[in-house]
Amino acid sequence: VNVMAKTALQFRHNGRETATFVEGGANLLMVLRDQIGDMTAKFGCAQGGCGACTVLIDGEPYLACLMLAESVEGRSVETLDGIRSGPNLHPLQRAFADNFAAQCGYCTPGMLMAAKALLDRNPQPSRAEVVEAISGNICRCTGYEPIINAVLAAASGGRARA
Amino acid sequence: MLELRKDLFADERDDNLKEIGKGTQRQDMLGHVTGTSPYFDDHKLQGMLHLKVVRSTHSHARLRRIDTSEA
Repeated sequence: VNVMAKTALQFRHNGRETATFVEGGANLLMVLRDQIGDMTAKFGCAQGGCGACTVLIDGEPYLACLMLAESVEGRSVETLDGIRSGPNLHPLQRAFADNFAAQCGYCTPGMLMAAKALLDRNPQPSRAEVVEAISGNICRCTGYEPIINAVLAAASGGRARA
Repeated sequence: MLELRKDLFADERDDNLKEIGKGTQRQDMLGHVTGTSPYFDDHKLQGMLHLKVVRSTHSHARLRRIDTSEA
């Protein structure tokens, strides 16, 4: 068996039908970054420990580095590149900026996606629920408080829901 | 406490400075929240070389030769 054989893969990437060929065993993160050119999902630890590569698959947060690329066939993958509407920042992005919830910024895309997954299913979370939602995302700069405050601010900011 | 000092230096203060005393937006913040801030690993250059560090499996050994055939 040729393990390097390429497989056709088709999925929705930020709402756009996308097709590419992936090597057997390729993970979703490398396909997004190297083949599709979406650098918003970050390569952190590559072993599911840091959350920097968090993306939404059919609305649920997943670690792209641990996701077999072929398993997103026919599914919808959303990255930070897809969360704003036109030129307008998503309310979470605005809140992160206003609350200084990013310092070096490397964990920010993963934090935002994890937070978006939370607010999409629970628009008014408690502080504890925010902490739980971002518990898989490591930030070594901010100490988390500004991030938690930003998510709560975005939640109470009464964003227009589709 | 800062409010008290305002009186002390009232005649020396200029409260209409552009940056001092006001909240400000960091220049890199927009890039951070949109995931567009470029990090080391985000650069893909033409003809870019890749490096992998292979460490010795022996803690105190003499290096005689390096077999690069698989590289």
